[in-house]
Amino acid sequence: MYYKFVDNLIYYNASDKSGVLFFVPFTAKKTRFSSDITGVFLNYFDSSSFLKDDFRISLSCLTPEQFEPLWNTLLAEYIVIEDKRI
Amino acid sequence: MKSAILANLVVVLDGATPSIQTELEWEYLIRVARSSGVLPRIAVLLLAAAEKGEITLTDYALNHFIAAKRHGDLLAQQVRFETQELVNILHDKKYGNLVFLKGAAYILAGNKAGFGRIFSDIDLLVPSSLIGDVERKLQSYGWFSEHHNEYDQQYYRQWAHEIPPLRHSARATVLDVHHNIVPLISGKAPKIDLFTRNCVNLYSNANVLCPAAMVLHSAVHLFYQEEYGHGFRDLSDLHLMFVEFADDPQFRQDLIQLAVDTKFTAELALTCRYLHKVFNTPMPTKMLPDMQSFLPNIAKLALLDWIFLRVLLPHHSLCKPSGLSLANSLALLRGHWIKMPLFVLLKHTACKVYKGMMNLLAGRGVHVDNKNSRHL
Amino acid sequence: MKLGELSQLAVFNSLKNGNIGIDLGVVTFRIQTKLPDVQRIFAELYADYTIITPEQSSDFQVAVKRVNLLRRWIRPQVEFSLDDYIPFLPLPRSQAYPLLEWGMNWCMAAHRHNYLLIHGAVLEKNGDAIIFPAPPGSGKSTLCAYLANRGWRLLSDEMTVISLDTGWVHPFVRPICLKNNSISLVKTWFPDIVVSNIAKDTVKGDVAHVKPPKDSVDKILVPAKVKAIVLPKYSPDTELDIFTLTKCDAFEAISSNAFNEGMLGEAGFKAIRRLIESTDTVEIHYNNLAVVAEFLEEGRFCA
Repeated sequence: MYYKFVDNLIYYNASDKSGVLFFVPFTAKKTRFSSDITGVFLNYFDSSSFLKDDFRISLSCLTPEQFEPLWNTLLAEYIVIEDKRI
Repeated sequence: MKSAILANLVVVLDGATPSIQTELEWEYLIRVARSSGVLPRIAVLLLAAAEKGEITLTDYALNHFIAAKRHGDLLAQQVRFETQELVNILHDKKYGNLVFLKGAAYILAGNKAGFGRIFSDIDLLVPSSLIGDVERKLQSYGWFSEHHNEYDQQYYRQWAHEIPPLRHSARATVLDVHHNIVPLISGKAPKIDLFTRNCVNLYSNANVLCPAAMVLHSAVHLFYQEEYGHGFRDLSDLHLMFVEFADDPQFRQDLIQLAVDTKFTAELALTCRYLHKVFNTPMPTKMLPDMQSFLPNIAKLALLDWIFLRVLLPHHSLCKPSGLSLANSLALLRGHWIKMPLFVLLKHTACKVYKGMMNLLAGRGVHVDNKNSRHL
Repeated sequence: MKLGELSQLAVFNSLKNGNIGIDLGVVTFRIQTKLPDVQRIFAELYADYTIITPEQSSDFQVAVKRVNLLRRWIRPQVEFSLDDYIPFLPLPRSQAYPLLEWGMNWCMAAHRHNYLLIHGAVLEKNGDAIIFPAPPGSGKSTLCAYLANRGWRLLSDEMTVISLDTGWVHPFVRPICLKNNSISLVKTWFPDIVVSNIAKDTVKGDVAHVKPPKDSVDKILVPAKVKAIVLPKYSPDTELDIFTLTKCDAFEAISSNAFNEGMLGEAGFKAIRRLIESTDTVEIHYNNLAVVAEFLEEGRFCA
């Protein structure tokens, strides 16, 4: 199954590196992430689709125990969704 | 002046340009629209017209319309999100088709009636055999029953066509789960399959009624109310739906057939009659000759006209029809009367009258379960 | 024309008939009330404001009136209405004037989604505006009254109004709401200020409203650029401690004080983002207003 970052995502990448806030119009909610992780996220914002495993690998700074809750949050908040085009 | 405001409102709802010269006229239009629950709706229509250059809006009007449209947009976002969440919870085959109704449905289906449509609850229709399962499943995801007093619980479960409203514990969204479109105790509840067959699939198991069923449901709902604070809005929903579905060659036939099959021909006939009188909507106007035989007798019709040509208009003090107070009381009585047999009506009325008197003597808020009242 | 230029009788009559309104720049209100105390206090506190006439449109038509109940002779109550709608439960008769002010705030917060509306005070000096977001108990109103009477231009004591287009703050000058101890404190510092009656036992304790400085009202159409966000916390044992907030924390602080962030959706998120990126945010613990004023006037908010 392929995934992608939702199209109309808006974010605030704080200039003091204190974090990144994502705003999802579909839920009208914002979620906060740490700056180092989101450096990786930003690479996917050109709506390219990816597999979960590849995504996990690119977040090499995280252990599997750290990755799973993050992944679940991304899905629960509709930040990452299934890419139905594929 | 009264009729000028109403005339402008009707013109705007019909997608045309109102003849407004002064800012005070904009103020009156905005105030009446707001109190009738159609301000976001006219905001969407007028902002679109301004975008196309069909009308110039003053800053005063523009500000109010932009703000009101935001309100409509927020509700639309909430409906889409909540629907997705409900589908996530109830997607299992055993729950069958989830059919969304009324405001939520208009928005989800992208109908004209959905743009700027505001509402307080999301309405969902499920088969009556599945109500228990659905309620239990929803409960495990944080949806809890609103009404705690025993009388209300009994009223809903025994007599009504819906269970007590469910409120989401974290988000405070309210969900009305129906299993029919009118209360069972009225004796007029149809075989609900007649409405839900041919329902239109949106995605997964989220559906809305087909156009004929959607319109007939709205028409029936209009004449099964007790309070008509939203009467004008609901009538304007019907106007917009008739305009939108007029292009579908099967629609008129399907609508009439469905009304006959479900024995709601009187409600359809009255809807056409009042749409003609208030909005001059094309298709209902053309349908009037066919509807003639479905109307009540002359005497009854005269009374209904007296009531509905008042309660279905805006209630705002700037343009309210004379006799509105009495019309509202008669509509209230009628609403109770048609929904329940006499002995039930007396019992229900006694309880409501008692509550009403307590409010009168001791002030609103004496019943602590009145969650909608704000404290500063 | 200013309200103060009319005779008192003319003002009271106009208020009785709902024929008078005031222009607050970002919004206009038409007010109706037959209650003499509300008429008198309103006429006093809004004397410097520009009025709107019956022929002009108003954004919100508000009224405060007695509640028509059987209990009106036992424990009389008053209610607030916006046009035909009554948003709140009634309050005791003695709280009629604060009810009007709170009702006007509600109208803005619930309807004026043309701006980002933040719960907090905002004042300006030398072209730099500072926002003081403030949950209750922070001492914000006292600080606000102090600064307003010490050469700072008051833009608002309750509700900061930010343009979604420019990010600048627009004045929403209204009578300053003081609570409990700060009422007598402010009267001691500034014996000449005009204070309304004290309404007792409200949900916020004792409450009074202070006439805003004339200069602030005269400049009601003049916006200002935001320099900093300062979260005040009155702390009896601390003269002045300053804590810098990270930008993400600052975003969350503003967000939790924004009245209408949800209603504004994307536009609200972008507006807060712009605000945070272009300002510094600090939290101050203080017990000495003069020291705070000096710190603010110095104008250095980042480490």
